[in-house]
Amino acid sequence: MPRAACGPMAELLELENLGVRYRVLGGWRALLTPRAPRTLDAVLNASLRVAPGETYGLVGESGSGKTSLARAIVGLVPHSAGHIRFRGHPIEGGSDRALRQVRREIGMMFQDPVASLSPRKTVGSLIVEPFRIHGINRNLDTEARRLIDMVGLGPNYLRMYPHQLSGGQARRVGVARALALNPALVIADEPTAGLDVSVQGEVLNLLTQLQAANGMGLLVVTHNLPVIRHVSTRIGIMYLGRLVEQGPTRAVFRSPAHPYTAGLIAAVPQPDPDLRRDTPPLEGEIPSLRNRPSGCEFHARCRLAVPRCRTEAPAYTAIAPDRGVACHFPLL
Amino acid sequence: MSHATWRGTAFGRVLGDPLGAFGLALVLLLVAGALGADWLTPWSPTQLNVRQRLLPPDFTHLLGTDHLGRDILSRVLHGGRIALYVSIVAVGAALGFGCLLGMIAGYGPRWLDNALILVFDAIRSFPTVLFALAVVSLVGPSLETIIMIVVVTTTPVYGRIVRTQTLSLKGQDFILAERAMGAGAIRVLAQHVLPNLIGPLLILASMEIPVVITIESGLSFLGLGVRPPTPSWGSILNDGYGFIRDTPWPVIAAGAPIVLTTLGFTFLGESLRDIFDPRLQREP
Amino acid sequence: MTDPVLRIRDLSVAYRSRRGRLRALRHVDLDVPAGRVVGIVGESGCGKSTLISAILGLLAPNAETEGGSIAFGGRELLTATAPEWQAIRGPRIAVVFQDPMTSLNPVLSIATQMIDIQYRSNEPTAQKRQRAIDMLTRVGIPDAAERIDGYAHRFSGGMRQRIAIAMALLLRPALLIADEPTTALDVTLEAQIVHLLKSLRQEIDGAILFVSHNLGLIAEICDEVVVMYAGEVVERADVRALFHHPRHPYTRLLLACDPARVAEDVALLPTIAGALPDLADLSAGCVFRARCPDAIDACGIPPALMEVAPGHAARCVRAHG
Repeated sequence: MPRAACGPMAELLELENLGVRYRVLGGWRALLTPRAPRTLDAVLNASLRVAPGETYGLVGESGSGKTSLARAIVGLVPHSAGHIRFRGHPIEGGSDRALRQVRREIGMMFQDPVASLSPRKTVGSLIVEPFRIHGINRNLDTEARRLIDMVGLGPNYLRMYPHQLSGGQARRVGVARALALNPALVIADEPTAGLDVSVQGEVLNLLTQLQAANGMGLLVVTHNLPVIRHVSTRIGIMYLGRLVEQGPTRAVFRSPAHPYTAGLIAAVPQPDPDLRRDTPPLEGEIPSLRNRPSGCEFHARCRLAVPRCRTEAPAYTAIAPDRGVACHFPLL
Repeated sequence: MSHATWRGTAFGRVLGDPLGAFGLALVLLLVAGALGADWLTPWSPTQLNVRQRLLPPDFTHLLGTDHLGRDILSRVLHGGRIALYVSIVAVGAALGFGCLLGMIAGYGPRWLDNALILVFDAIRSFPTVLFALAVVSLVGPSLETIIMIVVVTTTPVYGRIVRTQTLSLKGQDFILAERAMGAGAIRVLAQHVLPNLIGPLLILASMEIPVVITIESGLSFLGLGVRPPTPSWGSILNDGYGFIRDTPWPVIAAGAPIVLTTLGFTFLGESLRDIFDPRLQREP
Repeated sequence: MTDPVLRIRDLSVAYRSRRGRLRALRHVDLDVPAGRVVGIVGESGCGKSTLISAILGLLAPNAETEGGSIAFGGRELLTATAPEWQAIRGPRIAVVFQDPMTSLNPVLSIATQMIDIQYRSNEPTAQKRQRAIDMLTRVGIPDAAERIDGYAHRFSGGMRQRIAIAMALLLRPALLIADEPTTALDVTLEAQIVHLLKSLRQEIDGAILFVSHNLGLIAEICDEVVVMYAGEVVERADVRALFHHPRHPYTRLLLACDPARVAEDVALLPTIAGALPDLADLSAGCVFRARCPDAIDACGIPPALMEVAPGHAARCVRAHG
């Protein structure tokens, strides 16, 4: 049952110029190294929208800021700039207490399925945790059975401890818990990390099927391009904390506009020995956040860079309906 | 392994480990001796009998008598009662305060953390014995004074450990996950932080009990602990020490329980540490 | 044809556990010929790690070799003594692990470590250092002559893995085992490391055993592929034959599950129903029978690894029918 959006906005989640800044050196240590930067910008100027019932794929390599962005939405890390609007209402950072209501309506799945389950609780107690936290008075045994059944595990799992679960089973428990309160939005951070190929599909299919049933919005954060290609309707590519390209998944995969997107897609090894590549599609590594390059931050790795790219940062501009890119010379 | 049988098997596994079983036996012996002190021997620990001074062990006085003719076995058993009482109350209170303050320091705001750490370190920087001597000379020797000294000096030890553990747990995914579901600080601390640090802490505490017993005995030995004529292992040791040329029995009788208690709690603690952590129960 | 660098025959390894014997490897045959890259592919629980540990003589204390042989350059490794292992592990068989920090010492400079491992040679230190610098340059460390004096934490994950590869190759081993060498890396770095390994194989005269769960990487770098499932080799073939004409149902399903091979408009990804069999309680017959869509009655008899085409073997009764 898709929930009606509040106000005129049809968007479920809206980020506007979001920034996340971490303090790296504090106190007396900052005095010893006066020239070292005191802050790191993990996310810069990120704007994106997730519509109800849609799956948005946020793609990036490690250090791209995708996890920081996901965590900023539910206030696990405070955002330093910009706005977050959830169903039209602004989410301001603050105490856990202030964010309680928002967290009730956004389900979150963490990268490490086993580590995100409290190790001394049984599965049965873990999946009804949202009801306890929000003081929702229901028969918790019934709820536990409903949820464990919903994610395709038997009731015998309710008595197990997290360390007794396989990665795929723990992931299912994570799904059950994220969906326990019928959230309007689910954020899944690397839902396939550490899973075997034959199990990845199970978890993703489960999410897709539950989404079809509840109409929730899904924000999938991942570095796994082949997977996101199948599950998402729109994607955004992050590089050094900035969204460098966004658009409908198929269009982006078919004709990437940003050279980084193109390199990323080409870097995925193809399971066909006839499609071997002679050169790696992208040279170099992601620069350090402490030492952001000038101009376009991708210029050092870009085969198409011209002098202008070294000095002038490209603005994020729309290039087609629902598509945007931050590049002076988009490939389109 | 299901949860229902867990406690039973944990006990079973202590018995299965030779050192654990030995430690448990010693601890049970101490507890039984302390609880049953009134029934295990017909003699009163304070009854003087000047004509039977410094007797060697025989069937009437199983450990002999001291310089005032008191039955040493009775004094040792009652001394064990004092030792256990002091150590359990003191360690328990220190553990409670340490957990509370440590979790507040680790989970709370930075300034509170800094303030608590400053207090902890300030207390720890006093040498324990000198601190004890100073306090005793100010308020006078008594059981309560010893307990107070132990609580004040060991609370920061637990506090620091709990704080460090809390800090590392705080950044872990399952705590983030709880917060992401909307859980508040009290729930996170009570339901998810405490259960994950209490196991190792209880084991540490069980190893701390003999240390407290030693402190109590030490202060009593110096005459700064339990007031005579109440028996304490320390005062028995001290009494015997003066007559070591006449008979070694009082010193042996008071020294052996200190050594055995230390061994017992340490072995038991180590055995429990191996068993308590459910992550170690995983199949190889 | 010369003997392969590594020849494993009928290797079976079991772990003692409270639930009984876990038969982690059963009758494994594997040849790694000189100059070839042989891939081992399989999902978790297939026995890859046990196999690598067995080759390196690093099996866990509760592991027991039930039979078979591991011949390396004509020498039997299963009976090798500790001093013999010292001369083999490192100089003759080198490993690159998933996490480069496991092979780099955090408190010694890269130079110290790379000179140290040449301790068998009598050359002057300057020469050893130069060899290390050359190798680092070869694996793509910029300014190797200066950066060699740095410590592991100074390098990024990708650079550390390059250094680990340089250290592994420094003594010109006859066999390089790459155990999931790119799993911890991002996709663009992964492509670079795989490209590096591909370019290095021209120069090293040894063979590479490349272990991965990533079919794309296996297709990218390997000449021959061995597919493992639940402790057995279920298929062995030339890389093209394996990817284009897989004969074992497990291989076929595994390939079908790879999202990179699934058609774009498919909403639900294919999966392999069921779970791995219990290694402590294996029923008779094919280990994949319970999950196999093509299982027939004949699968109740344990199938042998039989040749279905020249150089292509599968452990399935239906593959050679």
